[in-house]
Amino acid sequence: MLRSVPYAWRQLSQDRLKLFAAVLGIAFAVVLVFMQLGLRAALFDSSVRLHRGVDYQLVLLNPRTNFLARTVPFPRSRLYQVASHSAVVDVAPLYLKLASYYYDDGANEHETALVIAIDPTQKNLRMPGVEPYLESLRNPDTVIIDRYSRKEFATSVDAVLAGEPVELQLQERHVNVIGAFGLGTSFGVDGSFITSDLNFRRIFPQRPAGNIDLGLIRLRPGSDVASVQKDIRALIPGDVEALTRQEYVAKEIAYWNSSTPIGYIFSLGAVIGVIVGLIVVYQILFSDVQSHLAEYATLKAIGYSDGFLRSLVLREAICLAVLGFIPAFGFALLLYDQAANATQLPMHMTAFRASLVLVVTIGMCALSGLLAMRKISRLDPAEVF
Amino acid sequence: MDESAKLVEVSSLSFAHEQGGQAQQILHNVSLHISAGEVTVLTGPSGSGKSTLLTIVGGLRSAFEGSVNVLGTELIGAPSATLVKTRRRIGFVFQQHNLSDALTVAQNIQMGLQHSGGHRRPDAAERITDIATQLGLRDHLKKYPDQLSGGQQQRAGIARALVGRPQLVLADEPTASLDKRTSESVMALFDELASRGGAVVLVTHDKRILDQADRVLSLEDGKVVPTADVMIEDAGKVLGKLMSSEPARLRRLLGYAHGLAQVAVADGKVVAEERAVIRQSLLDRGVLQPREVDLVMELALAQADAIGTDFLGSEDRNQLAAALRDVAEADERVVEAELRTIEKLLS
Repeated sequence: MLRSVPYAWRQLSQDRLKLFAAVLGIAFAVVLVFMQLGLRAALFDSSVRLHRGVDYQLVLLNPRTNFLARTVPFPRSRLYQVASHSAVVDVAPLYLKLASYYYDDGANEHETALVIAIDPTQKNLRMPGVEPYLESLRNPDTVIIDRYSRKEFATSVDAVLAGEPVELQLQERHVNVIGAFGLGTSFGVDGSFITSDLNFRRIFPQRPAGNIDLGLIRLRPGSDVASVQKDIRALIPGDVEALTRQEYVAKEIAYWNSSTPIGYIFSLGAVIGVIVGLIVVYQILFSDVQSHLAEYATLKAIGYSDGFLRSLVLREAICLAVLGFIPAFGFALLLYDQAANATQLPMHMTAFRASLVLVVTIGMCALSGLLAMRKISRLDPAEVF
Repeated sequence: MDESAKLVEVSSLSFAHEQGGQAQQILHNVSLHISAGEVTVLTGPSGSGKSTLLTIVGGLRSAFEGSVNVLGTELIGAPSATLVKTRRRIGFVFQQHNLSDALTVAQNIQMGLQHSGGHRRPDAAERITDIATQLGLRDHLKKYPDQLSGGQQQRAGIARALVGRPQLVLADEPTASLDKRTSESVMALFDELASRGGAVVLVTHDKRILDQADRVLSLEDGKVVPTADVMIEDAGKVLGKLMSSEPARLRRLLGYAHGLAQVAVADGKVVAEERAVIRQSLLDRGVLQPREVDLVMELALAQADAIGTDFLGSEDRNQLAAALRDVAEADERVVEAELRTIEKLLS
């Protein structure tokens, strides 16, 4: 009893140099897909960090708000209107605005930072790393800095973490950085500060005092969120919308995905990666089929079916897919690490993405194989004689 | 198996090939059969339709007119799956062996088993080794085709065809690239296969094989013609060419043949011992080359066998007499000697 001849692998590995080039080509395409998908996911994940990092079940916001760093304020009274609902435990306003950030003792360089303001008397926000500073933030001109801000903020972050006093300028206002919290950057935000609502008004004196950007609503445990949302919508006029946490996250992602070119570019990049892979694998398999036509005709003549020959090409395609995927996966991990360090974006490999790209790679190679094997069906075994 | 069982039965097969929008008739109403136990040679000039016939019998090409029954399966109008199944039961030997360069010799041979799951048989490895040994490839099983000579590659192709022990082998010029000794061993394998109740059909121009065939089938312009017709035509052409190129030499050889024939039949019979003595005597004198001796012997003994008209029927005798009289009158003068000779021949 003998094992089946590993025809596909033998055929592929016959010319090692050609195989190496093929694997390299596929790996390149797969890395491209990984990077595009990684960046796309980072875009979405980073844009909803705050959405996911704070404790609430419903949120009020102006319907004209596009995304976190470009909110349209609405009257704070709307938030207190909903506080009367029996299912609501408490409400908390959030103030958001981009500010110019000057560092190195007022040198000319500046970056744009997101200033998030909270009511420091609210102890239920559960924003990571914020609670220890709630009391101190009541002091005038005090802020805490996001330790995961981009490297342009590193001077301030490093000094704060080293326990040194840090003073910097937000807009026209000098503030003291009294600590650090952890949120992370996004494509729209390079770094963040949290301060109190009163300090916020000091930094942005022109901003109307009665306006807020987000209204966070916490419900009693066991409340029917959809039903409360419906009640709240009925309670407030149409100048404010009430969204669940999932809806708010989806709205932000939809903005980045559909309303900005960035999401489209990353999606297109992934598609281009697949197309590059398709072309590479098709070229390889087509030339392979072409150079083995006489051999295939012989196999057909001696009793092998078209199905066998098709499966042969498909097996070659799958071998190429797996061989290309393995180094590409390793290289993508390295690149993710590099990119995450450089940008502080959440670039991390997920099991789902790895599986998805493996399936896409196999599909891409299989499709190339299907295209390349069209010639096999037209092979006339009688031509062998 | 019944030795006389017909493994291949072709009846009224016609096949046309479409070329440039016009149908070109390749086979015309061909009928033949191949029985178990036979090694059959299919001959014919290039373009006579031998390869087409072989491909139809092998289930490699579909025909739509007539009947082609191979190993009990009717192939005319059969679906492609039936053709594939039939092909698995046939051993194919191709002139261009088309081995896979990516596989070792052993793996290439195994491909002859694998299509029908034969590699899972307990004796699969043994079969491969056996056939390789019989074809002198035992020491080359782990080599790749590009490490073999042309003849060795051809033998590997033959081994691939025979490893499944098919009932029917269809071979296209199987010995074209083989030396005499290897050709003989290949033919011995074919004979053995036939003796086990199989059949072998060979398309070949190799005269060494023609001698070993049980039957010779000739195709001309897509029709099966009696083999004797072909041979007579070939012999006539050969003698004609010899006469036009070296008339003196041919006359000299015919002189020897005529003389021998006259003497050989003087006592009414030619026995085997007599043949050997005549042959040796001619060789000993050294006046003729061995191949010339062969021709003289064939011509003389053919005449000796045929001298006399006892084997002619009455119609043949009348026709011969008329023809001989025409010959005698050809110079417009019939002499007594001519008439006596004619009378003697016809008596």
